Amino acid sequence: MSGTLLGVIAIAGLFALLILRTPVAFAMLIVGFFGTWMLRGLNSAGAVLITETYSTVSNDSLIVVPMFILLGNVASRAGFSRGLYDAAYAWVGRFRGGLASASVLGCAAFSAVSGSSVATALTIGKVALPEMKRLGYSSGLATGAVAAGGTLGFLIPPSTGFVLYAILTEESIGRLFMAGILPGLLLTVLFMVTIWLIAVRDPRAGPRGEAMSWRARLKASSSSAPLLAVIVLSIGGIYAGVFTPVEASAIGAALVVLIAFGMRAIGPRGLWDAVLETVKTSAMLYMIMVGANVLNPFLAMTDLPRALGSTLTGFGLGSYGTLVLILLTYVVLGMFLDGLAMLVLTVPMFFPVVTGLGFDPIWFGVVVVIVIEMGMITPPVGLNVFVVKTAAQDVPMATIFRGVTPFLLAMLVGLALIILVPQIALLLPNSMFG
Amino acid sequence: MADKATLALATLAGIGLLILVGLVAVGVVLRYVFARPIVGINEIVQMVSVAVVMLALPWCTSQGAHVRADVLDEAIGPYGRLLGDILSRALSIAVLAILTQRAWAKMLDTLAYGDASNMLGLPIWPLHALLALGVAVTIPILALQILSALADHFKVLK
Repeated sequence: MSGTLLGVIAIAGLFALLILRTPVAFAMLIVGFFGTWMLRGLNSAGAVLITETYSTVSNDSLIVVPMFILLGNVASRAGFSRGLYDAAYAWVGRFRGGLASASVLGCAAFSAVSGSSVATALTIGKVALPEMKRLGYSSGLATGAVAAGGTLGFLIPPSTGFVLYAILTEESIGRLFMAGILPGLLLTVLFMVTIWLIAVRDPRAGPRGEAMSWRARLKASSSSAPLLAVIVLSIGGIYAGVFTPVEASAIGAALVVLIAFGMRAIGPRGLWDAVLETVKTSAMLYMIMVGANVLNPFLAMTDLPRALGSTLTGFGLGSYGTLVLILLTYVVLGMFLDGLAMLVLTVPMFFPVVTGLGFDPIWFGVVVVIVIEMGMITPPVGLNVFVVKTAAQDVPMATIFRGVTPFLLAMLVGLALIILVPQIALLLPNSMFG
Repeated sequence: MADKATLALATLAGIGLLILVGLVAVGVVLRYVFARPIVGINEIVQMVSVAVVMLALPWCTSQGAHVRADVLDEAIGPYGRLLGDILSRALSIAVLAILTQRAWAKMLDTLAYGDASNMLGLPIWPLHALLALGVAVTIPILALQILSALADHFKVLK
């Protein structure tokens, strides 16, 4: 049996295991281990297994994952999301669809302490959805704005997606974090424009909130100042070259714990729950990385990535045509697979193809993360939609999916802009690292 | 019993994480304010990272926190779900058993050769021991989940 054929069979086996409810991490471990066994024997398979597991769990760069998760968990439990939302509302609430725009802004700000779309949508959704319901917002606009805003958590640093991408491709975590900032802000603006357009077309869908005086705005903003200071210090510290990403994550987590305790926003029990939640999520993410690191050497041995590259370039579509084909694959996979799973499964296959076509590896990371974000709000999986549903149980799923459709279009516009103008992603990392 | 044991290990993992946060944050302050960086901090981070992840793994597994693609759960029916739950855990147990055995062997090797980290000279064998421990404790958790899946399935059929 040729290596490539074995690779194709392995991928089919992987999908079979995923359909049979196997956790993504274990599915990759199983296929990677048994595949290597078939190609190189049990001894090699065992050697790959222990070497890759050890090197992943002892990778000191990866510690940013639990630290940033802790930062987000503590901020969430301490109720800091309320302050972010109130501050955003004070500034944009008086516009058409102002509450929905405030939700998106709140999501964008919370994304700067959280690497997860789900956590962002859930945290802001709990605060924003009841407010929008109270003011008579249409359920489609309200839930759509929160589900779409939540996706910013995966793009605006610190992003779990970028950390995994960096480890898989050996790119710089700091550079990727910086590359996510402007595209994240671009999507935030596009989401707010979308909300405004919806509210102009149907003023009852998103009525204006009350206008606030400058004094009231500054007062509302001051309540979110401590968390904003943490964001500026940790993310700004990476940009200024003062901190490494690991240091920024530790400083951010330590400060947010101190602030939460100082403001009596969290007690020892709350902190401990946040810590336990953090180590649980971290173990899950590390195991996904272990699975990917066992599977990917096997796939490389089968020569499948090279064969895939030859096939894709053999269509003669040119570099942008091939890129679009790859992105369409992501859109299809996004309908069935979780974002993290999709990332670790596809990047090792597509990354050599895309960089071989001359595209920038950091820019591709941003593009992939945005396409994966789109998968988080498209049916039938649409993880963020399910999360929003838990906070808005009276809203039918179909209404939420209808509500996110305009935001999906906004993401497509954002993606097209980033593809056409790569500097949107590359300006900050290039200005920082040269 | 299993929950208590995994929670106890996760508690140690949590303590490890808090130590790391404090250590790295203090290291930054010492470097910038007192010009006295903590020597070999990366090695400490590496070592405690292993403890954080491997001691939390059994808790993560027992809580069912591993990400799954569950979109086709309904489509595969109760027998498909039972087959999947048993097959996936049985195969996982097989791979984890080999990983445990390899980690244990590696621990014995590094202990025998006295392998140590470059800067601080910290022994390497405890890391392999932690790896073996975390994976080994996860195996019975998965086995219990197979039994639980069987019990649930037949309870539903009754």
